[in-house]
Amino acid sequence: MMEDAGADFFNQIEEEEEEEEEFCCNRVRKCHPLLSSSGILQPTPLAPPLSSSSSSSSTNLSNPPAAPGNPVQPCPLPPSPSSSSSSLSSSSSSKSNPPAAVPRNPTVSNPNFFNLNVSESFSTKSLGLRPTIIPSLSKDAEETGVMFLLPSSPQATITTALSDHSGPDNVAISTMTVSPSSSNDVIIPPLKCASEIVASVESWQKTMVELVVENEQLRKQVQHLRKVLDEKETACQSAGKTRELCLDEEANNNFGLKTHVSRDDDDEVHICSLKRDFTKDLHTQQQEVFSGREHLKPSSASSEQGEQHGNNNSYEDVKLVLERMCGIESLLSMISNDVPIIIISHCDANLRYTYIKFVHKPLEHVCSQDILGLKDVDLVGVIPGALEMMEMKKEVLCTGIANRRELNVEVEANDGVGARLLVIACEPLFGNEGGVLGVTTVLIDVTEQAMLRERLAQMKDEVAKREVTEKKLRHAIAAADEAMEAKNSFLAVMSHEIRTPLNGVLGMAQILATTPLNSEQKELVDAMVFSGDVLLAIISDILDLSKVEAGTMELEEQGLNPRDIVKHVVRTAIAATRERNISIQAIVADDVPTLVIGDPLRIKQVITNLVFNAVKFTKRGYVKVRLRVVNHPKTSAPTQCLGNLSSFSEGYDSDHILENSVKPAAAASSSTHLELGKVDRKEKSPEVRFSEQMNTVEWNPLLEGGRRDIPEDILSTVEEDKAEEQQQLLSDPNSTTSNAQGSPDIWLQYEIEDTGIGIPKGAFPLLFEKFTQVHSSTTRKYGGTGLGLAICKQLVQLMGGQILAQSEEGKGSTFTFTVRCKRPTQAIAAGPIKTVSETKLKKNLCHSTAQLHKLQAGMLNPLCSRNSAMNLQLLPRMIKSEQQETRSADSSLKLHNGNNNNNNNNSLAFSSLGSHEKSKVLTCAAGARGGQGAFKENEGGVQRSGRWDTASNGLRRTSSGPPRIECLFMPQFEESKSLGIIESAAAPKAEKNAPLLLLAEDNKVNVMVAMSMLKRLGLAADVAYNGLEAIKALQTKCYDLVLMDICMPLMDGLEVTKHIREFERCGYWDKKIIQATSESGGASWCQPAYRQLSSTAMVASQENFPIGGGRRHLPIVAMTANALSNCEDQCSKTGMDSFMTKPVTFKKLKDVLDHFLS
Amino acid sequence: MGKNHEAGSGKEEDAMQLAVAKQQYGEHMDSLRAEGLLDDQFLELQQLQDESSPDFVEEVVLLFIQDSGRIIKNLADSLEQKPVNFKKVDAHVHQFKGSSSSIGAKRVKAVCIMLHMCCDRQDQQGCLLALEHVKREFDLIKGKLQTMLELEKQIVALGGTPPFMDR
Repeated sequence: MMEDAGADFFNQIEEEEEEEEEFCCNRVRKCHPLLSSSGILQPTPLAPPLSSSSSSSSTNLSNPPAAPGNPVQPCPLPPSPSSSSSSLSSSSSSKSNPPAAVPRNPTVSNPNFFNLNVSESFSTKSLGLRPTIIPSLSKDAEETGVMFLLPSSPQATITTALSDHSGPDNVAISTMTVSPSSSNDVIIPPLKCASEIVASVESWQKTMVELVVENEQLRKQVQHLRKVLDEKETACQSAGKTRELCLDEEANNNFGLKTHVSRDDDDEVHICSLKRDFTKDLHTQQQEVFSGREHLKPSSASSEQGEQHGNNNSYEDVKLVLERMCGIESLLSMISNDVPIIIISHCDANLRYTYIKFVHKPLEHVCSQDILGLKDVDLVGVIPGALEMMEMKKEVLCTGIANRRELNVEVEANDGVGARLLVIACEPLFGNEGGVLGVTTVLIDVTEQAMLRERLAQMKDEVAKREVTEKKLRHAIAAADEAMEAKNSFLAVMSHEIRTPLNGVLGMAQILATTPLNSEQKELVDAMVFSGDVLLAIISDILDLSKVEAGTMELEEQGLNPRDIVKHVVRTAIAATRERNISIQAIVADDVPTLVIGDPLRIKQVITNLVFNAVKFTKRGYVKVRLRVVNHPKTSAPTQCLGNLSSFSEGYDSDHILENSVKPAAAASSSTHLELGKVDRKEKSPEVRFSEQMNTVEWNPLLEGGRRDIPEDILSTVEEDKAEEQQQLLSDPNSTTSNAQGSPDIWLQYEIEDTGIGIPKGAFPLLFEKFTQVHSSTTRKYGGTGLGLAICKQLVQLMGGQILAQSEEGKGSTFTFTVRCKRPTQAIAAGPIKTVSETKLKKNLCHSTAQLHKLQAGMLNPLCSRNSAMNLQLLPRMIKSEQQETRSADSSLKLHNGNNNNNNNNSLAFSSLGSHEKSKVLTCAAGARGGQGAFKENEGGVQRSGRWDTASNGLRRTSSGPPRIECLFMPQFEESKSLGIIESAAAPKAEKNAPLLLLAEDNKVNVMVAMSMLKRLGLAADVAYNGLEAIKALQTKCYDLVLMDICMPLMDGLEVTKHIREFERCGYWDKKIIQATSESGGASWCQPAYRQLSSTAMVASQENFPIGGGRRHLPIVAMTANALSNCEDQCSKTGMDSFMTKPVTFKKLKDVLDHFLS
Repeated sequence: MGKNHEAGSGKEEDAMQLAVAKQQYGEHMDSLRAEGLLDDQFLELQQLQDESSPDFVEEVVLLFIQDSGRIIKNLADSLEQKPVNFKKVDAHVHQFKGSSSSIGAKRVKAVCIMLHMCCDRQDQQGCLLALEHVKREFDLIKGKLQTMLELEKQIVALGGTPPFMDR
């Protein structure tokens, strides 16, 4: 009973569905141009094995859009199967089929996207993988459309645009939905064997056509029979039955067999009424169907049979089957021409095919006739797909519930079928009487779709992955940028922070070095100081580099003597390589001016780096530094050096070539042989050498590797320019000398040539990169951080120039760089720029020192430890000996300077020499100029004087230990200062006219000591115990010199100096100063004698004394104990003339006074 | 004769004592230098002493001792203040450093630099610690300098001149 009831229920549902489907088919037929006239599908030319699952569960026609392919209005529809249930029929089969029952093919990664290759517009717009569209179709379909729920998802909808033959206005969108509820059988591609298939192709096609014709005939017969039946039934049946038949008739009419019912805008209304009718009559119908069901035999009911029998039941059955089939077929054909293979089939209750039709691209070798009466397994053999399909059909038959599934069918055949993914929709077909007629199966080949889906999914995955990657990359870039910034600021900050305490450590180490130590301790301390110096130099390098990279490096613009820079560096290098067999020469061209505007510190840094690099890698031979003026930076290309050089060398008078060939120290005494005035005969002429170098490797870091940020086109223009320049040069070899004087810029070209180990070709690309060296073994052997050239490159670029390297491995390297400087304006040229430049030069010396120590530190590695130990020991001695030996030279040079003074030449001693003997090859010997200052009286004073110098020098870059190379230069510095001052400070030395000195010092002990020293020198001084007192004293008296302590209460020495300079410039004291000095009242600043001066006398004195009226430059000598700070810079900036570190020694004092008062 | 002898022996004794004193003085100075208490700067001072200023070294040393005592007191006071005015402390340190460096008291100067660095760091504890060092070093050098002055006086009392003036 229960079973019956269940069956009833199902029957009822199926009935409904059928009705519904019928209606839909009618609709479709009506609308479809192909169907409307004949009501029969056009025979489709090809139809590969197909499955057709058409479910009729809800086949709705959507509202007719304006044109085929019109986009369907998106409307949300819940994606549950129940949505389809809300379609035309009031009850839906889908209701009875929970979505959970929907099988999913595991190979389909995203079943929600069902890419059915229907017509172009269709596939893109409705199927289009866009889920939003699909529901909208369902919604539309709910109203009028045909809806197929394709099985890829709980519900998928296919919509196709149909155009009514009546006109474009009647175009309808048909939506096909294959719902889970629709159960269909699967037809395995009926391929038994290849030969059979091939053979049957043609016949099969024929059969298709025949079948269509038969169908047509059958339909007509059916119609006819039906009419008869209807008449009978009308006569006999009850009112309810009549109603049903009416419906039937109407459905038939709608089916489009004979008429075309005008479907206007009232379609919907009509449909709604139909719906209602169906609902109302449901019960009645049910009963009817039930009663007739027993008679229904589900056994083989082929169309032919049905036709032949004419039996009511079988006739009905056949009619049903055929109608069903045609409906499905027409719908499918409407969907698209592109649906690969669709097989519509019907099986009887024994699962034998009673009807099979291939829609689209039928398998050419399969004849549908052959299939009829066979089972799936008969067709394709016992393979999993076939069995599954059979099972499914059985299940559908048994349960009466439509079902659908995706199946993987693998057909072993050489017809190219292979493994296919088929969507199978099965539904039971019930006869009018409710008996099960069989199983209707729609089989759709979705292999392509599945593959496409998979590919799509893969692509989506890939896209997602790429997006993630991109995101990550962006993050990484941002992070890298941040890190870069952080690194730079970190480096800048840390370098500073490290330097400060390191200076402290070094200072302490220096102090330690001055204490009595045994030899071992001494060595350790020296090593400590050296290491500290190296560390400091490296930190400075890093700081510089990070500054340049961060763009915070600012170049100074001040007067500098490019000649001097070369000389200084060369001298330092000579001093450093004393015991090695290297000759170091400076060759300065005639036309190099003594004063240009630029950043002396940076230029010097670059030269120093390059020279020390050259020295480092040169074991024997020479290092030459050339300086010349070039027309344009681009002429600095190595190839043009040839042209330049020949004219360059012409400028030198060979008679004046000085050479210093430093022979290796024969003994520990490191005696030095200075061969002044001797022509270097070993040296080849520049022409010869350069012609040799033609074959060497050239490298322009700016054009390759080094500057990758320069676009190619710019590079090429650069090359072109160079070519032009070269041509110009060839035509006019002297062009370099005829500099464009009008141009505000002047290009200096420095060239550092060595005969060292050279650079292998492969190392060029990395030559100017940070932290790289030619080879890791280089680091082991020679030491170094690999920062030097990177800094050089950055600095040169910063200065608007470029740096080039050419080298031949084993023979040597030449580095050439150009820097852009400005020609001095008249004002600057005449102004006190010298002083500044001198101080800067002095400051620059520190860099050399750092370099020197780096160099020496490089030798401190195991390979050359002996060497370095020697260095350590030799250095102080070297300085001493050198100085002793160069006494004579010193005196002669002094004489020279004296001459120059008459020329009002403020330049440095060497530059003045250079200006007199222009274009001489100046070979600078370290210590050739023994110091007038510290070194002159060197009995035990060398160390201290060294300290004196380095303390002042080392402020910026390094606080050097006592025995320092740059000590050698200090005398010159002192001298140079004196040069500028001597004229003005030509005070008579006689006791009567003893120069008036002011000692501004707050420390009583210091005052006492200093006064005592002055006394010993036959001098006396006024003492001011603070800054204000000093100014007061200056207001009252005309002093010849001020010894100024920097650190003083009330007003420090720097400020006092500022005011003094201001006064000298303007001629009056700052109001605040006058106020302050008058307020402070008491004359504690004076020695008793000065206390007698009245305020009136002070005013008078201001007018009379040169310092007021004449605005004479008052020499101010700074005294400070603050050796650890950046004091010296400040002093020179403020306008102090000299700088003395405390403790003030007799010698220092005497020297300073000698300089300024002589 | 006997008187003469006595006088002679007295002279000899004096000479002996003077020699001893000088030796002591020399040893003392050597030790001062060896221990790094004094450096060459002190020699400078000694060289500045001549007939025109026979007590120069003593004057300077006494001034140093006196001045330094005051500075140390100021330092201690400044460091006890709350909050510590490191600038002020540093000014004192600077003074002390200047005078110790002028007199050649190397170790005092070194600890002054230590103290100065602590000031830079605004490290009060470090300053106090450094101040202890400064005090200790100062007391040490003070004692040694006083000993030296006493020896000098002894030498002078014995009719000699301080060795550094033997030129």
